[in-house]
Amino acid sequence: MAELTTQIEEQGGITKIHINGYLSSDNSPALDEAFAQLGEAKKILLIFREDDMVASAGIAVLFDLCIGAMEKGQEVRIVQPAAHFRKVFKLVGAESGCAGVRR
Amino acid sequence: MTNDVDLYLPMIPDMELTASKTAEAVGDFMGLEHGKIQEIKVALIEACINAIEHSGEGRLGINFEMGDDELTIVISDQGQGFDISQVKKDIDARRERGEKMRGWGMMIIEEMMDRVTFDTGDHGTTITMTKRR
Repeated sequence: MAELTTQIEEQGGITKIHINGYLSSDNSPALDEAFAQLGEAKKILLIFREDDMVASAGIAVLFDLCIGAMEKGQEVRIVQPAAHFRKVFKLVGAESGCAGVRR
Repeated sequence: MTNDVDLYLPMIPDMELTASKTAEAVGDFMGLEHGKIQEIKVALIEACINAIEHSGEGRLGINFEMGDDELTIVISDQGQGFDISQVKKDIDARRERGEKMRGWGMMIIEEMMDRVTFDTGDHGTTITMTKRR
């Protein structure tokens, strides 16, 4: 199976999840595990790499997790997604979730 | 002048990545901008996943036609096909209900590419999509 890896980093009260690989529904357990480790984190940044690839079903999983976190009072932002990610987010009406935060 | 690359893939998970890697190699060969190659890869991944999920039999044929000014990709399967107008109605209905994800493959393909046509029926589905240089 194609790989998706995550790495969690704490910095100044912000929890960063570095995402690396192919985001699809099949490899979403890596994201599930990352979100399960967030605990009481208040501010969460999801950081993609320029060359990460995405399938729409993977974004569906991602946004389900983001919505779950936000319902628990956690603030989630997606940092500087590549243009192809941003286009997809805009198309599905989820662009506000990745607005305004830059590296 | 045109050059073609033909790829035939089994209908099994993750084959979309093989297609996308081929698209990257073809795009690099043509000297396309990196951002355009990324968009082509996203569109191709969606097209392949749709074929794998909704056709599920036979194999997937992908033809890359490298033109002087554009790249045309033809994705063909031998599945049962689908009603495009009904799919679009379903997507509109989901939007009206505020559902944000699932079933967006066709829309994403159209957004990422410059021209897209769908030919579908009992004989299978062919998606022809073009990206200008």
